[in-house]
Amino acid sequence: MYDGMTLFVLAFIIICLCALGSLFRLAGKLHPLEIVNYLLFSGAVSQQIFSVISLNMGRIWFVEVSSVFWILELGRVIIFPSLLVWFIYGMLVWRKQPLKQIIFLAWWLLLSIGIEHAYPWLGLVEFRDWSALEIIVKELTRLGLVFTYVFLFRRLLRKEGSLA
Amino acid sequence: MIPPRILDINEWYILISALVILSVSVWIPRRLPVTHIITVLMFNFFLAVTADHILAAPPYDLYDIMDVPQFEYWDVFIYLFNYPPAAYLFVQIYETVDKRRFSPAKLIFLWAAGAWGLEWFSNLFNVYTYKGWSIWYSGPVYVAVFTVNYWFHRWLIQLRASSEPEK
Repeated sequence: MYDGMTLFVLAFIIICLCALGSLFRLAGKLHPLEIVNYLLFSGAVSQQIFSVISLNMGRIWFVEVSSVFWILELGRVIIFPSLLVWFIYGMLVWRKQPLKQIIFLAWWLLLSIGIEHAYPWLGLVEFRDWSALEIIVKELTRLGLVFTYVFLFRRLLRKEGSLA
Repeated sequence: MIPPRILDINEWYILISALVILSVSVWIPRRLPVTHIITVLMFNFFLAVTADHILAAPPYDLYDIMDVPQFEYWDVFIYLFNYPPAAYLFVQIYETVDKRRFSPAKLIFLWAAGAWGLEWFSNLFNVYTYKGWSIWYSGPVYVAVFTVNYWFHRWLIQLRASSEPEK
């Protein structure tokens, strides 16, 4: 029979597939190239940030077994990038309503940080000496990088006439 | 991230090879829209970061890149200026060659062989330190990488065609 960890990995893979599938709902709202680009860029950025924090700074420790590694990897490559693409969509939809944008940002940060903190709660990772401010700075850095890319890529799409 | 202390032989090799590949990339005529090219570059940036993160970091830890096992500035340089332009050249050449005479499979094997040769050559300059990896494993990996690139490029063309406003 399957052990608890195997079932958890399988459940996580299903969650990842749902997260990816949810992006199809954005197909008519964002340009398809935008969805692909933002997903790839935020996936790459998430992995680079994790490498720096875990390998160089030693601020995140995780159990070095394959199942835990793959759960974290899928989170970085699929879950967080998908969340970011939804966030970009929200910011673009409410671009003329800053109050809604701020509320959406707050909810998004709560969800994103909440998911990240489910890992130590499940005993998969251990955050070492993190303050709330550092966590928010890390998330805002990631958002800043992604939004710079969004701004530049949308400009190019407009220049090519692919975006109104 | 760890800054480079001195420029030794592997950093010089990476710099010169990036310069060569970027010069060739700029020199060949562009046959695709800029956003298509950026998507191909971004895909390969993501692919390189993900593959190295899976294979070169714990728990697998099969090889190190450059001087230290940790993440350093030169790793980012390689991800940005060495790997993606090679895939960009692959896509551009695919668009340029006569497809009746030069099938995608031929081009994939040619590019994989070229990438494998470059990896072998880069080992002379201590770019990679293999721990559980072997250069022989890299051959099939490069074939897979360029096959995926070929599919991705074809998919992007379809995606773009389906999303273009009707004129």
